[in-house]
Amino acid sequence: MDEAALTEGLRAGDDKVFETLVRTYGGRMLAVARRVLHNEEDARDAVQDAFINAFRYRESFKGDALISTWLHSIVINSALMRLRARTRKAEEAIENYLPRFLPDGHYAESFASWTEPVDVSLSRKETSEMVRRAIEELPETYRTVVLLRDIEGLSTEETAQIVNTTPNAVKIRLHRGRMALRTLIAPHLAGATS
Amino acid sequence: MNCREISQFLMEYVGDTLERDVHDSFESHLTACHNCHAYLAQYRDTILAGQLACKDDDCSEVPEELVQAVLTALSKEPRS
Repeated sequence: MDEAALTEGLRAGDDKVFETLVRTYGGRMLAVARRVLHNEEDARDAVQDAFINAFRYRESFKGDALISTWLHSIVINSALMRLRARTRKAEEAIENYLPRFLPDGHYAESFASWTEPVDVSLSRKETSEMVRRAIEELPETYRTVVLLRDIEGLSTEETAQIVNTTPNAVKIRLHRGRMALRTLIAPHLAGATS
Repeated sequence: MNCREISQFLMEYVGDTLERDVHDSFESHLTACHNCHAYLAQYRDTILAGQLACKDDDCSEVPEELVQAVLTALSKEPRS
């Protein structure tokens, strides 16, 4: 079934089309929800919420974006709503993961480029898992922005809207989140000196 | 610019959104500072590492029980 037929069926609430959408995009949506929530049950519930919302608001889909893009934004919202509903645990200060500087403005430590290309390192399952664990370790405020901007590919403005903050705050969180992630993965990657 | 100031512009530099005069000062420092050069490389590689680490997840299949749970929930939705 092509995109035009899927769009028509989606807007009409066709059961067969919705089953096709669940089977076609459900796996990717579940992956997104797992990255946000780190809990299989919550992630599955978020995907279910997302499809229910897609069904309820199907007539708002005009076909000016791909269905996959539309569903992607819906599942991100569903997952973040579930994340916000959880009891918030106290966050570790991001400052613990940021680079330190000497009074004269130089870094307090030395760095070397990683000797192995990162795509080679990441082709190993254990390295890939280490990076995913490091992302999970980031304080939530920063992790969410890193996920939405760098992994899910949303723009600064889209991210700001979803997390209910300003584009400037998103930029600050993204930069700090990336630096913190670097601190967490550097000791595990070849040639790292920090 | 010192290393601390350079670190504040890394994101704009990587995103190619630095203003021209800042960009020139940034690159001038980078040419002379091995440590900032290496930190920038690690910063870029960190972004790529995150993307590559999560790429495999997207290929995961949707479990049949989730398909059935979604379809059951959808069947209960009112039809207009």
